[in-house]
Amino acid sequence: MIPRISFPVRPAFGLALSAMVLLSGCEQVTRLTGLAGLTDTVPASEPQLVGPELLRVSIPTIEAQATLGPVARQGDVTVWQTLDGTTLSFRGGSLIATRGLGDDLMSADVAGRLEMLRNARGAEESGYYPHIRSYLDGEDRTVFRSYQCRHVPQAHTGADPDGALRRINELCVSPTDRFTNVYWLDRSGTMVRSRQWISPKVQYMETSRVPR
Amino acid sequence: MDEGAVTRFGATILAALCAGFPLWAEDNARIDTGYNSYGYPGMIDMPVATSRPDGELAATISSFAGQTRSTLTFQMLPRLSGSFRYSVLDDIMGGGGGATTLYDRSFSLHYRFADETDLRPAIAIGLNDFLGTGVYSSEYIAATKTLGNSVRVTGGIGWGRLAGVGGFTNPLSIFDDRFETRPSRDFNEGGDVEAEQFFRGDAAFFGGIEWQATDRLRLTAEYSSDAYPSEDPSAFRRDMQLNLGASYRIAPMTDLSLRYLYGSEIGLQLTTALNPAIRPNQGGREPAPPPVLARTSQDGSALSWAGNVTVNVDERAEAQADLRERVGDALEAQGLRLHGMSLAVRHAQVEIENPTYNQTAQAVGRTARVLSRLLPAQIDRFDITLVNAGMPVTELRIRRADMETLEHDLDGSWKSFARTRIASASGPVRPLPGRYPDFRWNVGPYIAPSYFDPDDPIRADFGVQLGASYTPLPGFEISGVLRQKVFGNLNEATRGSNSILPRVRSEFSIYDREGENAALMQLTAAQYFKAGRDLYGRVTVGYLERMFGGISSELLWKPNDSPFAFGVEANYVKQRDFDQRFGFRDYEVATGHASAYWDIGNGFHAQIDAGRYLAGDWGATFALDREFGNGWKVGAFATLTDVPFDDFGEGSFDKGIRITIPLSWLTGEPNKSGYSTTIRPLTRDGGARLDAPGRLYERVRPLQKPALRDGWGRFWR
Repeated sequence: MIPRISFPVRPAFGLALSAMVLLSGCEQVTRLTGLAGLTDTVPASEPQLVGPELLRVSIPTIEAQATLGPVARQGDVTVWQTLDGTTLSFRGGSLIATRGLGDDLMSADVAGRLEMLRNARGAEESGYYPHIRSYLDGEDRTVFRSYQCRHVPQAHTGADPDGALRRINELCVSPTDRFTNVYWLDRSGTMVRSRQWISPKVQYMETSRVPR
Repeated sequence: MDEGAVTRFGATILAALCAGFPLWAEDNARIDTGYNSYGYPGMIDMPVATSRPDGELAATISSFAGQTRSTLTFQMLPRLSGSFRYSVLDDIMGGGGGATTLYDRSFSLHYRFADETDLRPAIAIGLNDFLGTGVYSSEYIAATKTLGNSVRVTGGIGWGRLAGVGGFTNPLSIFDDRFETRPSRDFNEGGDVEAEQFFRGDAAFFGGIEWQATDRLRLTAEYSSDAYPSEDPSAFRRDMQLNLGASYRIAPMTDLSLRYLYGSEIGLQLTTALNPAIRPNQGGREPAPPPVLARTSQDGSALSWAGNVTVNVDERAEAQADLRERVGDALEAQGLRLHGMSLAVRHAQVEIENPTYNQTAQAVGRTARVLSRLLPAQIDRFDITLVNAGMPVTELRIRRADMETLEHDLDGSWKSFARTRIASASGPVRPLPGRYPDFRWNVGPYIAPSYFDPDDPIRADFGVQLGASYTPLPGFEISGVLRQKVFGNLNEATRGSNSILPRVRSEFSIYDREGENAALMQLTAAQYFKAGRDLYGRVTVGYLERMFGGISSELLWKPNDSPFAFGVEANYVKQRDFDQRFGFRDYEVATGHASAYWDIGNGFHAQIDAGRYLAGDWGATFALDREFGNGWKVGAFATLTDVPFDDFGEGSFDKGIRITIPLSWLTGEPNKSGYSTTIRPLTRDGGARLDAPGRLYERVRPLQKPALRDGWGRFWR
């Protein structure tokens, strides 16, 4: 076969007008800047927002940042999307999947982590709990990686600038990877900021809720 | 001659070790296995017993004293690699005593049958040039042991060319005296497997030491047992058997090597490799799929089903048409085509075509997501039929509740596959109004390479290709491909055919030359059809390929979940004019094959085609391909027919290797096209098969259960 470039007629994919109208005047859902870029062989679906809140995300390794809006909510899972079709799925604030980043996190089990976040108290040492993640390898086979994680109490207890946020560090180790996630919870236990590991190529992302 | 030098060199290394020379002591210290000047795992000219990583595909070019070898090596299995080599041997001794230039193609196999342990070395056995004219013919057994973190020693015993220096009576002669002498090769046309030569005649020792000095630099010293019988002294003089080399990794998978060879020559080698199993773009650059919309979170009114009894028939038909249009648009936005759709009370029947995704499972996953967002709440099952060329191949039954509960499940991939009923589609397609007739066209670049003409080993034409297809009815396709060369040098080939068979392929250079302007590569009318639940059919009429036109018909039996398939193909064709317009030459032939296909597992696929070939010869083609999950294919084939080797001409029988590189692997974009090339040492007329367009096996197989299972990781992508 010969490489073929086909020119099917495609609508130049429009900006997400609904999102813009909904949020005109203030911060809005943006594209993920800095990446080499998603292909437009398949255009991104327009984010159909299911709520007004926004999430700011930056990924230092690929120098990318974007503001995301929620496009689906099911139980304690929320899917957030950029304007150009990258999605991040969180369960109770903890990342369980990414799409559109290349080296994507396909799925994750975060039950132990959510339990830890509910119970973590200041400097108290907690036990280990399992954390399992799945990825695709170069031949599209699902690969599971199993981690042992624990809450790492902080050495210093310097008050947060806001005074109201609790910072929780978590260390996770597998035979091949090791990462330290950081979560900031407010008094109600809602995650307002975090630094969470995605994958070996993409590394960490930082998230923060845009205050309303 | 130079064992002393080896000892001295080894002593120097040892002294360096004892003096506490800074060596890599970290756990991750690793000694790379290099490719030798013949392109198989080795040191400089000699082999080692270790192997390269599984799946690696490497290109090597080495040159010294006018001896240039270009080799393509594939690590077919973790223990087995195969090489194909094109060599130009300048200034070698010819038959008449004068110097001549030899253009030679040869194959090698390297098999590691024992792994290294604490006590035992890795051990490998190898065959070189077992098919060609035999100038590099040799066999070896090599043992390699790692010492510490950065030094590795290899010793071995060679036969044939590898027993040129320091030869002694073959130790295998204790089994049989026949091993003492190596019969001379029947040189005529090359190409026979010269098994009666293997491991016979004198044997000799070789060996060497490799030192991984830094992460990137590896130093090598070897004692070669090769006497270069044809090259010395006309191409160069051997002064000693010790070779010294340094290899430096100039890029992650690319090595540059400099050698001092046989005490008299400087050699250079460049090796570059890639591993098809490792994708440069990881998972790919396509945007996220639309999220599943769970019915619990739908607001009832927006998606309420217009099909309930209170609505009259007209309104219901209108609502269904409207829904079809919305589903069609949403699938189009995902790069998919809605072929048909109908709604029952509790389930939806949806026919789709996938022109975009390499893994059909990804097309199915995105379709099910789209349906979850658009279909009324009481629809709780999606029956998705995969359609290719108007033929319904596979039907997948997906419960809507599974889409809703498994989207965020840790093991959602396996769970959703296990809960999906996958079977051959039964019943005809029910296309949407407006799906037919359909016209599509595309335009793109092409490259047409030609290999191993002694005057210029690689030639190529580049140009523009226009493709168009018109589909008036399901499965009825009129299509054509037109090529216009823009630049290239295929027209420089001047060697004519000397074939004594009907010249069905060997006049390819005339086709290249005369088809420079607007060559009609294909113009056919084809009907694809299903003749039974697992029986697929095709009849194609017209200009089938660049050299032949006529009629081609095929039947394929391929049960959905079977690793086996059987097919028959019958063709009556006439040779086309060299200019590749509408005229014909006066050679016609009935040709056809019975084919058996076997999906062996682990990505290996075997195929046997037995029947009558274009030159009227009878025989069979054996092919084995390794297919990677991402679409890469690397394979080899050989055809044996009733044409005697002497009549076939140089090479004795048709054989070659073939490689397919998916475009999506390179770009990370979802794209089903790719670049395929077949490399034959020689193109001659025996064992030549018609290149009929649209063969069924590769149309049907990607849509069936084994392929869906292998690609199901992308269902949720």
